Amino acid sequence: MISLNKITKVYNDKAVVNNFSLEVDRGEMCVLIGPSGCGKTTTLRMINRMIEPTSGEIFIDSRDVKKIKPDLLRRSIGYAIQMVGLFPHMTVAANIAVVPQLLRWEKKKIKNRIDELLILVGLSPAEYSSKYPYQLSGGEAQRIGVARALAANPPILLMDEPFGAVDPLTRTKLQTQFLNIQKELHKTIILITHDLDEAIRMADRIAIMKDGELVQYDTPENILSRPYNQFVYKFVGTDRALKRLSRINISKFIKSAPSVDEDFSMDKVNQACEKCRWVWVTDSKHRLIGWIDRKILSQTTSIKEALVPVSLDEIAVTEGASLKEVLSIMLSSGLRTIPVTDKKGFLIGEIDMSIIERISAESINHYEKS
Amino acid sequence: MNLKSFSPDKIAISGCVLGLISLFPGWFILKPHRLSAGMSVNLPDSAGLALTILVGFLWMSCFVLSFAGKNDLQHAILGITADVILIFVFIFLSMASNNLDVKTHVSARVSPGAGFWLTMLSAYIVIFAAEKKLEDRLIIKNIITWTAPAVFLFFLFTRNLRNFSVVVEFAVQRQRFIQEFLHHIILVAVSVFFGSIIGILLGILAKRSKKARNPVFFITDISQTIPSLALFGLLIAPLSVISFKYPFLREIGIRGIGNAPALIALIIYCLLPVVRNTYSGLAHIDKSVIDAGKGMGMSKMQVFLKIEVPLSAPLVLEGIRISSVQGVGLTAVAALIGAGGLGWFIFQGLGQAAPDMILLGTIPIIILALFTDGVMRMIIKFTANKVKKQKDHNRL
Amino acid sequence: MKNPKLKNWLILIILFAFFIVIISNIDWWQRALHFLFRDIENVIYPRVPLIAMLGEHLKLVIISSGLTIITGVPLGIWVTRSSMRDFLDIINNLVSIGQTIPPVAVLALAVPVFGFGLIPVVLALFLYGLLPVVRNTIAGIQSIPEFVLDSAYGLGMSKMQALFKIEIPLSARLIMTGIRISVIINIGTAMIGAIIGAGGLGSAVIAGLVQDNVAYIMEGVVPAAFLAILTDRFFSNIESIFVYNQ
Ligand SMILES: Nc1ncnc2c1ncn2[C@@H]1O[C@H](COP(=O)(O)OP(=O)(O)OP(=O)(O)O)[C@@H](O)[C@H]1O
Ligand SMILES: [Mg+2]
Repeated sequence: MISLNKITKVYNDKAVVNNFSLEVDRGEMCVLIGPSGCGKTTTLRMINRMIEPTSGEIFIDSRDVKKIKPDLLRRSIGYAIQMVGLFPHMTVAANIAVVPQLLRWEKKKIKNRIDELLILVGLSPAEYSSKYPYQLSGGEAQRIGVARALAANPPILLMDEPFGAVDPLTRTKLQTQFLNIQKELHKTIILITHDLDEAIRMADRIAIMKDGELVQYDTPENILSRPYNQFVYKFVGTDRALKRLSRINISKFIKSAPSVDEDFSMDKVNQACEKCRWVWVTDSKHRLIGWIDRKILSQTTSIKEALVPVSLDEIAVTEGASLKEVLSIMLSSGLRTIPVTDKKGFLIGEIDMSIIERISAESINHYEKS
Repeated sequence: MNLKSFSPDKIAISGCVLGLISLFPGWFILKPHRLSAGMSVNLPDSAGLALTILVGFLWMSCFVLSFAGKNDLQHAILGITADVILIFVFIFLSMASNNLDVKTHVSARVSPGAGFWLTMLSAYIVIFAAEKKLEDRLIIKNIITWTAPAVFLFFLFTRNLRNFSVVVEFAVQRQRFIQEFLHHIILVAVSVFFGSIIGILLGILAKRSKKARNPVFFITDISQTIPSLALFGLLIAPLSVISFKYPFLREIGIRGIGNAPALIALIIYCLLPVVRNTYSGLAHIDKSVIDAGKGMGMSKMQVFLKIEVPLSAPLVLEGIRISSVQGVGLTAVAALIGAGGLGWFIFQGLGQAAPDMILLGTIPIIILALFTDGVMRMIIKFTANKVKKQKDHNRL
Repeated sequence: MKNPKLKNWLILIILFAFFIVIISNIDWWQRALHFLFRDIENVIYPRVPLIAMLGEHLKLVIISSGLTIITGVPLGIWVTRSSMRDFLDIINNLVSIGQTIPPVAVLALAVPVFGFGLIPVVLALFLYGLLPVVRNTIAGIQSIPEFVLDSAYGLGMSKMQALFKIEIPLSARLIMTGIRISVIINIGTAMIGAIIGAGGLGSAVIAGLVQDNVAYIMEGVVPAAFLAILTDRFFSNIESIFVYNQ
């Protein structure tokens, strides 16, 4: 979809982007990351011809961008700049409407599109349409910036630190929201960030840059488990094992969990307990309420007495969780095995610490090129 | 040569082109006496073909130098060449005025024409371009800036420009000129002095009292809006009424026209810039700095004198600069209501349709305004540096 | 947010109506001036009626300020284009030197160059009025943060679209301030223009000064002060339309 072929950009005799090649497939999110001043913004801006490369070619859908008029090219590519750059003299609605208006959409269509986008980024159209940028918080402004980039429904989005200027909590919220949007829209996205956690969370592939050159371009898992050289190894940091766990979804590792209903007779429970040291207990609707230990069971006469009640937030994980969340719950609750439920609390299965040990052992502790 | 370092300086080039063009229109206007229309003379006719070609050659060298690269020496030579051109211009002026047939026409005079002024403008452009490139080479920059004015003054005082029209006019009215010039300066100085004191007090008042703020700004704003002649005029009526009621006032010089209404109006005009800048100077002081002062045990007065005064000084001085420059011009208008000053020559000149007399008033006013501006800017820079040093010191 | 603006316009309209009423009832003037200056026989400047003087004055200001605006704003915009970047400094420098020169001096210089009459005054007012307009237009355009323009181009605006949709609206307030300053200076300087034969409210003032007639002076001065204040309020109100933050 987007293909950069040996791009070089020279400023004052110095190549700030050097012989840089990159391919981003349709519907994929590529995250560009690297130290400050390594040429990320310059690279991004060459794609929509805000900057012309000194040499090299850029293709979008196998069309050379040099052959497309810059204005027209840019209208077909959503671009959210590092500083948001909302127009202070226009309302939120007018800001979002800029590109559709340049493309001469009908008024009605533009109006509908504005409402649709505001809802998409989680802001109420009635409340926000007529606000001015100075009335927005940093996070709201960034969401409007993203909405504006999406306005004309461009197949490609270029985003320069779109969640840069907000606090960590808001940032996580915006990231989640954006991932949900992306699940729906399947845009081809190149996103720049300084934040490795953000990159690992959002990217299909990460491109690590240094001094204008591409160092490694790979999936987050591979970047974490097989750093190409010492630079990447250091860049990823000592907690890369943990970071890697955050990329791995638990769904593949869920085992079926032994469970009993709280209304079961003692016999049935005893029978279930024979094979293992404990069983999970669910209510009549199969919602997890606690567990029973075999040892305790032998000393009591009713299930009620033997039941250890649990609070779901403290020991259970939901289906969508990552292994990192599992590990953190295990560490804080002191359990080696924890239950997995769905959002409503129905027991789905359980997950064991041995899995995490096995996966961690897989991540290689050295980098490929020494 | 590397192509990168081959960067033409567009400003200097346009200056040189303009300079070459300016050799062609009439350079001097010769007049047998003050009111005659005069006769325009070209440069080759006045200074000779050889010298004209020489100046053309100097412009050409500037043109070539404008294509120079990042070499400071070349920029310096460019600026100095422009200075040399200016010196030639002054020589031509003195030649033209010395060649006049003074014997037949006692008050014969020469005044500069379009070519002369265009050449001055071109040289200014080239010098500006050269100095911009020289950045922080202060010594050579100052040499380039001040050479031409110094040479001009030299020519003036060695009586080489004695037939230059304004000088002729000056010679005729020497006594009066000195008197009005001093009077002008005194009017400006007195009004700026009192205006600044009142303005600073009002500014402090506006900062301290929320109630006073709006009325103070409202009145100073409006008084600045009223045309100068109108404000002078508005003061004439009440003052003349009062002075007729209390004759002793007339004896000490307070009348409807003259110095009294002029000074009052000038002081009123002075207020707004000073009030505004005092207010914002005080308002922009970091609250934490004042708190720190209080925390160290300073009294209110000490906080004011040791923190607020020095920190707001540059902005207050900036207000006084605006007021003084403006005052130089407004004082010229005051001549209309009989307050004297350099404006007297302007309005007399206008009345008699004598252009040289108008210039005798106008040129010193312009120089005075530029001079006041320059001096005040220097003072402001100096205090700002001092305040900055103090701040850095406090931080350590 | 809307209320104070509405109030300002209302005040302006009332002041304006008041001004018109006063100007058009010359016998009120006569009575008031007679009452104030009992010793003076002729209290009304006989040569030109007040309305006509005001008309001349307005004509002078409108022509010169009109010329100033239609050349000054485009000039300011032109020199901020990227192709002119090299010249911006020197133009700023020239403008700031120009603004140090008093307006009377410019008016006075117009006579040796252009002679007496209406045209020299219009030219002087026009040239001097250019300075604040050009200066503020440049300042207005330069006050726009670079990233705002960047996002305009990034969204696919052409240079012209960015100019008209972003740069001009965002610098409109400062441009209006420049126009206001310029027009106010012109109203004031035009009064002095009466000496050069341009007519206007200054004529009565000059006549009053020459003939030592305070009533004539008042007849010129009061409407001029009013006119300046009204004009100032008018442009201030327009300026506040273009305030986008708060
Ligand atoms: N117009 C320019 N002229 C000269 N040098 C430039 C220009 N633009 C960028 N550079 C230089 O190019 C290098 C790369 O800049 P770029 O903005 O692409 O960095 P970045 O990776 O986006 O940094 P950051 O993470 O801080 O945004 C920097 O060293 C910068 O100084
Ligand atoms: Mg960047």
